[in-house]
Amino acid sequence: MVTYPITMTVNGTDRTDAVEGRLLLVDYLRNVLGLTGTHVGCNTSQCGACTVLLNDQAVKSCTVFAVQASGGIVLTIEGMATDGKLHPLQQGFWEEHGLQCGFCTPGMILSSYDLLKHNPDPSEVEIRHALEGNLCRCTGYQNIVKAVQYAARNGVLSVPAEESAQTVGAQEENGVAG
Amino acid sequence: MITEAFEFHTPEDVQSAVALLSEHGPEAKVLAGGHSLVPLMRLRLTTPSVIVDLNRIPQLCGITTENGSITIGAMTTHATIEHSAELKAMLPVLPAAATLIGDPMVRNRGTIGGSLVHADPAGDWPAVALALDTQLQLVGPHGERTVRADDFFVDLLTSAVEPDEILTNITIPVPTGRVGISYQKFAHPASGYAVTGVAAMVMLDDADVCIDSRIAITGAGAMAVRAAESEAMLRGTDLNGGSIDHAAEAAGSGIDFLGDIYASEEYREQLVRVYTKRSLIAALRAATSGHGAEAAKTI
Amino acid sequence: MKLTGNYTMKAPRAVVFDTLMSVDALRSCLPGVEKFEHTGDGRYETRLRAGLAGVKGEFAGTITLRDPVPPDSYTLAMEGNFSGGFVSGLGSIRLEDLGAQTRVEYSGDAQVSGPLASVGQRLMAPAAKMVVGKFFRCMEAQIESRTNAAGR
Ligand SMILES: Cc1cc2nc3c(=O)[nH]c(=O)nc-3n(C[C@H](O)[C@H](O)[C@H](O)COP(=O)(O)OP(=O)(O)OC[C@H]3O[C@@H](n4cnc5c(N)ncnc54)[C@H](O)[C@@H]3O)c2cc1C
Ligand code: FES
Ligand code: FES
Repeated sequence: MVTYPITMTVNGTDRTDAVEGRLLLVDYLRNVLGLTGTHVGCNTSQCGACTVLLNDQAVKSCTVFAVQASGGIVLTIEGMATDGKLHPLQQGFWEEHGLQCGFCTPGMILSSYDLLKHNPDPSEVEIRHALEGNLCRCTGYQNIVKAVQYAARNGVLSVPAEESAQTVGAQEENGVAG
Repeated sequence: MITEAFEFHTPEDVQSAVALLSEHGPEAKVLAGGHSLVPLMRLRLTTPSVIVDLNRIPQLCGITTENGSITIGAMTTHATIEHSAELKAMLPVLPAAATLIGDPMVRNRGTIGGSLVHADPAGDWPAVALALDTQLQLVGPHGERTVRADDFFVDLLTSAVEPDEILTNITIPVPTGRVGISYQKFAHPASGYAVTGVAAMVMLDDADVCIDSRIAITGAGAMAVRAAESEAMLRGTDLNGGSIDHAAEAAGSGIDFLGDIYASEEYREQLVRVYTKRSLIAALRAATSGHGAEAAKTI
Repeated sequence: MKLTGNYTMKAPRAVVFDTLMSVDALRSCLPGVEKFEHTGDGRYETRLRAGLAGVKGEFAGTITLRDPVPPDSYTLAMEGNFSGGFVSGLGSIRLEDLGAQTRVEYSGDAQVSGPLASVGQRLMAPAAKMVVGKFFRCMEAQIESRTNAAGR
């Protein structure tokens, strides 16, 4: 089995491993690092349950190989709360009943976080457009939208501590304009 | 399912990438945004033993403008195009069409080059590229060549790119004068792919007579195509009377329509008529208002 | 997945029918045949690899040609594993006599399950259409070479 050395910062911690080329980022996070908050819903790039932030952008971690994320910065749901205090987005899902079974929630939160970073005061239409890639089979989305609005009102820009390096360190890998 | 095992390469310039493709032959595949390739690999519908990742080649990214044309690197993501202030000013149909692709995560990773080379029958960029008379630059072991969009889409999932070639960038001449461009799509509610999408460009003279038009249709048949007959019907008319209706009626001629569980052949045929009309009306509105471009989707 | 269409061949109906039933012709014209063995009653144990543009699907199962009404019609049934899923399909093939030419009308319906059904659905019908088109073009070439050989 051929392996490739990878390094990446996950929720503020530097990780180094040797992995097979075909190991998906989601499987690296869950099975190698034990970060099982990132869920696998469809396994076919459609549901967004596996969404994490890679270099400051929401991505479906089931559609990126771990080797591709090498050198990058990853934020998962485990990195959102600071000092035992929920992130305003997490608080919003709690307060507004934005979840039922909770399976889609980590992905919803990371996608919403990506939205609010670029657009701190989104309209309802903008929130729905931003969450098009995240499917929920329970809530009917209404309360998810409210949860995001709650976070927008309650200072989502308190960036998780682990992630503060991200803005500076973000790679311009795909030449992305924010 | 996990993919079959593969060797993973990250060349840092185009020449090394091309050399890897020549060395490994048809067993090698280029990886761009991975949002078409990885799902196929996971179904083992494609099983490359060598992956050449283009994500570490900075030359392939970014947007530049000169002499009235726009050049976009093949690895430029849909999201970069969506947010580009330069494109919003120069050719707003591009960012507007980018916003309609899939969802934010797909747009963050997926690239315009990957989308064109993959030639998905329901992809958005193929229609937009055809309507904008795009030139595509390819590099292979024997050097460079340029292919026009009209010659680029060959068949279902088949473009003019040879297995040992790389698409490096695309160049779009920015149309000048009284021009309106529009892309209208009927999106699949789950994936966002075009059940039918129509890109239309109209150019008017000072008397509001149509002097040029390009119409391209995606999602309807095995590959994106131009509606040449409809284009010809519009030239020289004032686009009011019934000419848009007639052109829309004829837009599907020559297409061997796809039918699937979501939309039958007859339904797609009807969608082509309706979306050609909508796209032409929006393009005309953009041309006369001086606004330049419009794009919209319906689910 | 529904699949209907037609293909016109430049040969009389009886010749077209015989060729469509011929094991040799089928073996050369079905895509990527790795195995095609008659096990009786028009049943063939089959393994195929159908590909287009770098995308390959693998079918392993049975193909049955039944209810032949020469030179008019027959039924084709297939059942087996297809790229990590399961496929079963039934198609009816009718040959219309156009004198020197024959129009082959086909119409079928297939059920596909597994991950392919959810993701690949969209591309399956056009891919199948392409494979069918190739198949008939190949059959036409088979007929041509047969008639040439017979004429010698
Ligand atoms: C859930 C979902 C929804 C989607 N919705 C839409 C939609 O609404 N509209 C739409 O248009 N698309 C949609 N897509 C597809 C998406 O836009 C893909 O990103 C795109 O089709 C392929 O681009 P890529 O960069 O991901 O290419 P990849 O998947 O990396 O590559 C695709 C193919 O092109 C080849 N290739 C890529 N780049 C090059 C190059 N520079 N030179 C030579 N060969 C190359 C690869 O070898 C591969 O065969 C969707 C995808 C998903 C998963
Ligand atoms: S598990 Fe990644 S998109 Fe569904
Ligand atoms: S809360 Fe159950 S899937 Fe969203």
